Amino acid sequence: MDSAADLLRQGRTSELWQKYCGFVELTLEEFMLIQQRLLLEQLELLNSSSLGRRLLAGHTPTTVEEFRRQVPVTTYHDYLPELVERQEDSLPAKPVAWVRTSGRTGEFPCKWAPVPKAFYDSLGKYFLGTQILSSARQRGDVRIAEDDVYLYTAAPPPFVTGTILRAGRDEFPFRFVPSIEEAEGMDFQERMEKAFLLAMETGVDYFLGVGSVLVAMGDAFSKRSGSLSSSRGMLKPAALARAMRAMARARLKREPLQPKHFWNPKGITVGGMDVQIYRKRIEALWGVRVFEGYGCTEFGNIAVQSWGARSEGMLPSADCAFWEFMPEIEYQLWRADRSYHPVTYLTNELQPGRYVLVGTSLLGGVFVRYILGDLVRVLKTSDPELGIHLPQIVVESRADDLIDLGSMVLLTERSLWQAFAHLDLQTTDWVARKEILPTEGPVVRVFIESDNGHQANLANDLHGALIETSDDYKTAFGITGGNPVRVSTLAPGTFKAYLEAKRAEGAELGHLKPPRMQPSDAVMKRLLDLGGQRRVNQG
Amino acid sequence: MTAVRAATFFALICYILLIAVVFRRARHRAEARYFLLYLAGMTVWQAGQAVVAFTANPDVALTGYRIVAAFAPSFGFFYAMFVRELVNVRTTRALVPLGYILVFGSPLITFLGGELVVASVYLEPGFPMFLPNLGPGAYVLGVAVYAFMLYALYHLVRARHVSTSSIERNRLTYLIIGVPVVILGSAANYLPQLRAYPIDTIANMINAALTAFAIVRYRLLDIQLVMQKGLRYSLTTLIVTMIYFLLVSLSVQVLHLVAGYQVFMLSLVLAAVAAVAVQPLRDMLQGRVDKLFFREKYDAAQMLQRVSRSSAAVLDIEQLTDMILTEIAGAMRIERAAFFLKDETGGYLLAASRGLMIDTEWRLRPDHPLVTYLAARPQVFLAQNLDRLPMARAFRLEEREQWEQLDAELLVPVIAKGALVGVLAVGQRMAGTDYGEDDRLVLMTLANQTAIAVENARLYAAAQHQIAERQRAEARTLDSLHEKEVLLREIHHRVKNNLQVIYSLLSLQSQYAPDAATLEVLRDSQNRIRSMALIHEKLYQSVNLADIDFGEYLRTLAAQLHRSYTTGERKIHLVVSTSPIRLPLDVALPCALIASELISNALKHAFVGRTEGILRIGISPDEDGAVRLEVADDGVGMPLTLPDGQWSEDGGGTLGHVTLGMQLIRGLVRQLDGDMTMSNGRGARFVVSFRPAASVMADVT
Repeated sequence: MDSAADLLRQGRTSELWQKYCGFVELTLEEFMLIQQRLLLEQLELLNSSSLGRRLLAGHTPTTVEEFRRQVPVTTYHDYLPELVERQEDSLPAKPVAWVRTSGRTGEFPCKWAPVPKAFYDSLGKYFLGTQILSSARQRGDVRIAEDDVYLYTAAPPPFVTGTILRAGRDEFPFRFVPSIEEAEGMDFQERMEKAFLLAMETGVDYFLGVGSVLVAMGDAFSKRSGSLSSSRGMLKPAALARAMRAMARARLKREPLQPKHFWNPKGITVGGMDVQIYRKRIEALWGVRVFEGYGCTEFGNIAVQSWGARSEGMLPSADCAFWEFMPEIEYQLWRADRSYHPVTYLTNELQPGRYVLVGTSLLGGVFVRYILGDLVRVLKTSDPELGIHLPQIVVESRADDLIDLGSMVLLTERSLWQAFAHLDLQTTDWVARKEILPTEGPVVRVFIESDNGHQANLANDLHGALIETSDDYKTAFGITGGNPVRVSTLAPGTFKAYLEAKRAEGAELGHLKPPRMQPSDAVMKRLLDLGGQRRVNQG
Repeated sequence: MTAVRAATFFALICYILLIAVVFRRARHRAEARYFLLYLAGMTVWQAGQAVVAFTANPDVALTGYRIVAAFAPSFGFFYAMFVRELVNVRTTRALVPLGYILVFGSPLITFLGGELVVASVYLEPGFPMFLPNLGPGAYVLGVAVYAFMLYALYHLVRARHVSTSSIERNRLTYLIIGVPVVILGSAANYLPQLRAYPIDTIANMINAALTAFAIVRYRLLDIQLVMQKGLRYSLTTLIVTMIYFLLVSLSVQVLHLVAGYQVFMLSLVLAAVAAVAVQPLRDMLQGRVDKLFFREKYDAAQMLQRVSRSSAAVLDIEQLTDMILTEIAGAMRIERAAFFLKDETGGYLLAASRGLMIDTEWRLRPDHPLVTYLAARPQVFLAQNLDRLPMARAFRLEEREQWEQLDAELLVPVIAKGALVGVLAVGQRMAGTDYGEDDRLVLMTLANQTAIAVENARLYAAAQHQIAERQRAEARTLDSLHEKEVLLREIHHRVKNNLQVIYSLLSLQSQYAPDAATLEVLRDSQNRIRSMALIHEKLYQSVNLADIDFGEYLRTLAAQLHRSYTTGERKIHLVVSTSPIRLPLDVALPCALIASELISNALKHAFVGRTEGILRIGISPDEDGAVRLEVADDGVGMPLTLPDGQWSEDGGGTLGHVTLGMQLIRGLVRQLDGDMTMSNGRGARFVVSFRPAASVMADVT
């Protein structure tokens, strides 16, 4: 078999496209056939392992229906102690790598997940497919080239992003800056500085990162317009030339210095719940259309957009996991009673709406009907105009992080982001918590650190923005006139102080920032201690 | 002049046709779109040439030359763009805007720039058409066209150099040959001696045709093979021609020497004779050339003939698939091959293989991605394309391993009656060369030719399998029956043994009988048990375990009872007359008890006070199909007052006393749905008649 680089050298770009991006052109029947075949094989593999037999409760289903009917949904606790102790003998397939999350305080140090060989190869293929799609202007457009410079702000191995990068490098010779091995020994700040210093010399062809980081970087450029760092790295001729060129471009366009003046990337892939919010801003700063990807530690790639970010939502991957979609209400019922067997829908049974994602590993992975905990919205089940036959999804929130306002409306992180975006609020950071007020019942209190300082009417503005951007919210509160939004401001620098304090404590990457939704009492106390609070809208 | 016009006109038509073909077959590919633009440019350029060739008007000729000059850059540029797209060149981006400026600018400069590009036209003596006076702009445009073509050539050569695929290199070679042809063809215009000929037109045509072929026919004939074959055929033809001319001139010379003069007609006749004589030689040489130089093609043709001849006659699927694989492996020099055949579950089972180390049964599932692909698109499938199918993601891990183990290069669907009945997988050739279009055609032809034979053999094998399965089922039934027979025999044996035990127990018990009456009761019971035991004994000794020869039974029973009841002082002669009558168990048992009771009664009571007597026992079939059991003695007779011959089942007569024995007999006769008559004359005579069939149906309750 010719490698991707071989195909590219030979100009066989249509084959390259078909091989790596053909998954976005699958019909629903083809998609389901892949899912079903791999699931049935996976069940056999699970049955051959001690952990798998335990999860299947000794009975191996022989059909998808039987599987859905008989096998209970699982959480990470069902995989203890095997996964935390990384017991390879108990797994369906020997892993070539282990990936980890940053963990959850008080439960276990971190979540570990095995990566079998076939799954690793699949990660690499999806990675390359994602890059091709991110830079494609139309169907079949392949713009990758050998030694394209790949800049990333994602965490290195053993985090899943790093493992995906490594699998991608095995698939195609991108030039990662900094190299993946080098990045493993650096913390986030070091990595960023090194990456951008190198990128000043090499240029950037592809970029992978989180939306907020891209915006923060862009803003950082704007703030120091005309006064670029004079570090040693910047003194190299290539970097100097790039900086001069960028400044000239910015001057000519009468714009503040922005990343787009330095680089002209072919594609930018962004993940995270805030992509929709930052999309326009990133595009303005970087001059490239943002391509959205969605992944997780347990299943690697979950979904990506279609070519050139043309699709509104993301298309699920066919062979990384067997996907089931649990309606929100079923999830609530299951949370109330863990013995409840919730109803789920398969990809070909979906209707637009909100679902909690449930996945079963394929290709020798270990997770079985695993509740990922992400709340996704199915926007549409197909897009005939684009020739897409698969459902399109967007990520709404963590399913556990919903703020239930008296059962009338469930506020997600996404809905609050949308409201902020609607207000065009230059927020640096915020968290939101549900509170029960004695006279008014449930409200959402948003703790916000705003560059614009004190805004007296922020609660009303946010309430208005939520009515504008959320149909559910509008239905619940638009007519009655009640305002369940309360705002407290935190002193500028609170979140930065929190981050630095956590870093000084040696906290994991995932704990450096407070959870955006429903932070714990301890986290809130820490924030308030650091920044104090001032209630804008007493309630 | 006519030749120039014809060539020009022909080229114009060809360009239009090429546009149509490429547009229809390949317009969806990016490189093909640029190629279409190139063809469009060539068509306009050729139209300009045609105008020049056909006109006698200098103004029209000037316009024609200006069209030629104006559109020359467009075909050069679009050809370069086509190559950029084809081999995925992402550098030298500045070329693109520059090219477009040239493409759109050159018509403006040519037509609005006065004499800058084409100043005027003139006629040269001996030259059939107008010639142009070129301005400096023409040379600039010419350099641009050459630059574009050289740029394209450079990238084609470079791509061919780095390509690891022989098929791809082959395709690029076609294009690489085409570009120098164009450059050389147009260079001919600068030589006054060649200017009169449409060399540039022909050269451009060749390039356009080669490129179109390369685009439309994705997998091309091996160009080296084409050239080799062309040369070899030419060589053969040359040899034959030389022999022919030698023969003719020799004959004419000999005739001249002998006759001293030359006759034209005779020379013609000799030429014709030589031609006829050379024909077989040509055929023979051609055959030899085919065999020598085109060994594989020759072998393939022979193989196809052999397979189609013999496949229809072979019904054994293993033999057939084995034969096909052997033939393919031999003719095409293939190391590994496998034949998968559809089985009754819809999957495809490995029926035959060559060069594969397979330990276990190998089967492609009905929903195997390759099977579904081949069923939907019944064409030869190149294994190297598998990885690029989105559906390849549906491969199970074990199927991936199997696929790697199979290491197939081509998969050939075997289609019969519109359905995929088999898959032929062939591995790499021993020589390491790729499969060409011819090879795939041979394999597809083979698959088509053998499909019906394969399907017939498959159905035959399925029928054979069914028959064998049925035979096995029958054998299993027989075995089972035998087992049941043994079991039943054993049961009868055990029943008989158990009855024998009861008999022995009663015998022991009788030793402790307090009085004669008790002793008699016990003895009667013993006799009844023995008669039943005897039935079971006869049954397990019988052939079919279903019925017994009652005549034989009766004789045994009578003898046993006789031994039991007679003593030395009393001599009773038994006269047993039986016919062979087979009675089933449910009839034989009551009948045996009746016989036992009647014989015992006779032996006990008929000869009281006498020292001798005759007891006649018989069983025989009646004329009307009934069975007649008779027990008669010449003893004292029965102590009852009934008219002779009258006895009814409810005891219509009055017995002196109704014994248990008689009650039993009456009950058993009723069970048999039979009749019993009794007569008293010189002794007692009992006749029981019944119909076995009816009795079987009777309710024994």
